[in-house]
Amino acid sequence: MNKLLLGRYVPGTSFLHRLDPRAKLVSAILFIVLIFTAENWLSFFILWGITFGVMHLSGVPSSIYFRGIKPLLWLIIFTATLQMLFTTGHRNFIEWGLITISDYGIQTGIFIFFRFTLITLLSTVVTLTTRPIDFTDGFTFLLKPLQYVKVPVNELSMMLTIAFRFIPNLLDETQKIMDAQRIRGNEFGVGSIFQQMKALVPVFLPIFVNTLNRAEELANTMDVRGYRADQKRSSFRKLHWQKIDTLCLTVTIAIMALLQLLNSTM
Amino acid sequence: MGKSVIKVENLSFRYDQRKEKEILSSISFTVNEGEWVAIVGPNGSGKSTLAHLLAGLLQPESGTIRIFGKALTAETIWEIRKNMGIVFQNPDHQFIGTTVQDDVAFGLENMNMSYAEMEKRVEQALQQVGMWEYRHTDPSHLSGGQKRRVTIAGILAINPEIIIFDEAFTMLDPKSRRELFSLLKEMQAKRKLTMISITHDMEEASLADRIIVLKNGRILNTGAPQEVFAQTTELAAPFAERLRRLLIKRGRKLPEQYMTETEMVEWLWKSNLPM
Repeated sequence: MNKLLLGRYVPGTSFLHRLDPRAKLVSAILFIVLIFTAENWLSFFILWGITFGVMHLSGVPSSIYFRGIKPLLWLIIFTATLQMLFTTGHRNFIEWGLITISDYGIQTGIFIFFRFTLITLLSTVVTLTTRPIDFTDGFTFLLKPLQYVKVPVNELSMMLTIAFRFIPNLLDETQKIMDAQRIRGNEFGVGSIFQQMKALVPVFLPIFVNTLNRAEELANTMDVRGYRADQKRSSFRKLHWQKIDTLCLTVTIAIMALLQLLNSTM
Repeated sequence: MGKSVIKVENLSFRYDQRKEKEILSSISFTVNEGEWVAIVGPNGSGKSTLAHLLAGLLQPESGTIRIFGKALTAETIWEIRKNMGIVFQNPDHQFIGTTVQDDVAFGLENMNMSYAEMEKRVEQALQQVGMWEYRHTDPSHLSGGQKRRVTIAGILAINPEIIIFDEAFTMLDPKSRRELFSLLKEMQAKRKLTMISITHDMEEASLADRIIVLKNGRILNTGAPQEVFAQTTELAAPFAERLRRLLIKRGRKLPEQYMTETEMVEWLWKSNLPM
């Protein structure tokens, strides 16, 4: 359960923690674009450097990053291997039916491996250094223009806020129920896969029931406290755009321009 | 007594229209300004349903509810809710904000209040319940009593004239419960708050100005706490209280005052220890 890194914030006081979520989100999106468009070894070398740099800046121990990427590692390797095996190029080293291993294939495979790893690491940096609520606020701000085409941005944001807010509760509750079942002699993670699945039934049922009850009570509370989705609401949380945020965006754009230049000259 | 704030007339309700049995049948009562009324009754007496009806979360089958002289309808409900707060049983299911102050501000945000005003009100409300130092804390990390204080602050912030407590204090330990009761007494006197507490805790009920006893969806008795306790034999004292009386009859030495269920359990499992 602790492997779940999405939305898991590690408190800290680093430069990255203090950045405005909007600056962080925009920079992260720009970097993801960069990672997707990078086509040569030098660009990847620079991008790896930057990624390690921000990971270091976050002040979060690298073991946490490793845990975050571990569950995805096999998927990434699998995708990269497929590329390696089925791409033809200038020189084909092995040709065996459909399978061809070529110089070009090997390069694409490695690049794909780099791309996915870098994107995972970078997005992990964002989620680890941004409180979910700040993330939601930043996200809401960036989506605001969509209100003009009738996208219910505020409702989406409220849903996200509540979802994030209840993740820890759900995890706690699951733990409690599993403990309660364990006391009664239910064993988890033992036996065949079917036995393991069966052992989880008495865990999920109470979670579903509790979640429904909780949702109802929460909805009642929101209703009584005057929440109306169709009314304008003010916001108590405010985002503060500082110099440091402008600086962060400027650096990101400068790096973008630099890499673009590199791509066009090489 | 002041003017009536809540006036309920011939209120009836059924969850299932196909069934004969009414949860509430033709209930009428009024609550005056600044009054603290406790609605008590055994499980299934309809007291929680009554709270939901007063909050406009359920529609009555027949009868009317008038709050500040206005009939409670789909049109008036939002206006009325600006002056009314409800505290439900489980605080964990009621937090919307991720920090204490965000949660207190929720009701204010819904009123589309300016930031400066919100800031002032949030601080005021949190100071009142003694939770200002915890304003940046995640509500789920607080103790039961502190959580309750935060939910109450969230309601005080909107400056309501009526607060309804629906079994709001049942899950608390006796100490924080007593602290909260004295806080509420103070609040009632200072702000002319009208309070309705729905409870099966006789200790809570005994603090009210008036008790309404519900049984099987009807009002059994109403009056000042002492009168009601003396007259109403049906008003089964809480289980722990009955047990205490029986044990005293049998010559066991028990504390003189009213005991909550937890206190009773604490006492029971130690009672046969050699002293």
